[in-house]
Amino acid sequence: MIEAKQLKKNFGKKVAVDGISFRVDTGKVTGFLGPNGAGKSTTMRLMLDLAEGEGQTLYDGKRLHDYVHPSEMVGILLEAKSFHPTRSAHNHLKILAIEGNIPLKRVDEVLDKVGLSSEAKESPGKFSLGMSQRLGLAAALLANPTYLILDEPANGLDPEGIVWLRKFLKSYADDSHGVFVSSHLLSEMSLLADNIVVIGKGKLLADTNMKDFISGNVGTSVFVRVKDNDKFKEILDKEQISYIKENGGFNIEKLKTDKVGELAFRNKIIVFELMTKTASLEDAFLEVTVGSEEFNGKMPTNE
Amino acid sequence: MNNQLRAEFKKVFSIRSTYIILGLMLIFVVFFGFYVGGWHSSRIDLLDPHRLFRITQQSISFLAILPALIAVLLFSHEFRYNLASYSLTISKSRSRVLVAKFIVVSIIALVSTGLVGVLSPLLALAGMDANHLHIVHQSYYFVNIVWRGLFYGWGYSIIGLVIAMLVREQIGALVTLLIFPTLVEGLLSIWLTSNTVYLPFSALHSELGVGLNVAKTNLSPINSLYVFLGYVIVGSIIGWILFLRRDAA
Repeated sequence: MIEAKQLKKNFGKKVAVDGISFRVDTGKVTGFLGPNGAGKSTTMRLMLDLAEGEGQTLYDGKRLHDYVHPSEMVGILLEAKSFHPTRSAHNHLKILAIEGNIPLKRVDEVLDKVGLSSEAKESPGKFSLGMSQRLGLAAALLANPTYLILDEPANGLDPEGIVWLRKFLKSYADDSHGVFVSSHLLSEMSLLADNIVVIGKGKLLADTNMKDFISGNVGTSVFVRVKDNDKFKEILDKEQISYIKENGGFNIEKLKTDKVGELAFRNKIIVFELMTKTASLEDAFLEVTVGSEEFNGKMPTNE
Repeated sequence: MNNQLRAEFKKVFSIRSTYIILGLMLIFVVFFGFYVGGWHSSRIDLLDPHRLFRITQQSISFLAILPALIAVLLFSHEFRYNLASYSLTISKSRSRVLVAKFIVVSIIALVSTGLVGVLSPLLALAGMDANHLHIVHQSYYFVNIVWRGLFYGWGYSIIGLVIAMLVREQIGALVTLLIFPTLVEGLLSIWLTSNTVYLPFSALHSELGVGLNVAKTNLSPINSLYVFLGYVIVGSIIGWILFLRRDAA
């Protein structure tokens, strides 16, 4: 288990990470979410002792650099383009293998695993973002570490690459490893992560499992579209059921589809559409991080 | 430590710029040794009993900048290409990474300076021979040129590494290395006059016995060495502390 305790970092007067604590379990993928500028990358650097700050991170009870070979404990991908552009992919990994006391045969194995064997002798300066991410992932996997810390690993990957990454990280976690991964692709994260850590403006907003995070922050609702809207509205008002009119129908909270269907049937109202609206990770994320955005764009208006 | 050293050597010899710099070094040695020092020797040159000593001294002085560039690149690439995040995560301690860089830079500097020191007088003799020129009997201060030359070559590269540690940013470090010995110390010499030799590069030039300010001082080579070492030690300590405490990004 990785235990991050009271991590704190200031850039001048600005508090980038404000005393956050969380844990990353083995056997699970833990998603790390937050708006732009929330402090995700800084948190990851603090966890790896790459940034000066307060607090500490323990990996199975010890600090990372208390291990003789830290690379066996954690593999990292912090930036896609972390390589010298004219040093071949093979040499790049070979250097990391030598530094980490990792058998050199692992270089070919991980290149094969990420699908870069044919590009091993090429200079990565010519690589696309997706290929660079694959090389970064190969570097992270080199020592078959207990934990992976990955910052936006899906950026630049094609759809096939994203599916591959998801399956790979899930199987890696299933194999008694821990994966800590940040991403802005919320739909992807909802399929990938078992647990979720959310931060905003450097503060911890949530540290829970995915199901609880979604259900705990956004409730499910029922959408119903009927033939006679005015009559159904009268019935809802009479029954004191709260609703929101949208998309030509009614969005009703705190009731299930069978109750709404029964209500319409009892009052002889023809129902065109009746369904449960399940909250998404995106809904929950937006709910939790409201007011925590560092940068806000203007929403388009229909004028 | 052994792994760290192997990795640092592999870093140096797995990028194109190292081979370009070493190639340039070879071209310049041949040009200065064979052509300028040998083939193109004047009658006065041929009558100089210290001609080969001076060629060696000047070649070492002129070419020491090149391994120093390798030293700057070895350090600054870590941050320019974010390789430090790997180096500092994989290695058990930051100090170990730094010590490995010092050792690798020292070895490259000493070997390349040694090669320049051996090749330049031999190539000069070959150049004279090819042009049917005959030089007078030479007095060659072997021990003198060995320790002073090797120290000069090592010192230039180490100060390059120290500058990179302090500045960290690649372009800034390269510019500092290129303009400090000539422009900055040159301008300061107007004000400092004979005390210029207490500046780092002037002290280093004085140690080898080359450069404009040598004639203005009575600082011995060994004292110049101490002055220069003072800068290296202080700079290394500051650079080391910064390396330990700065964010690796």
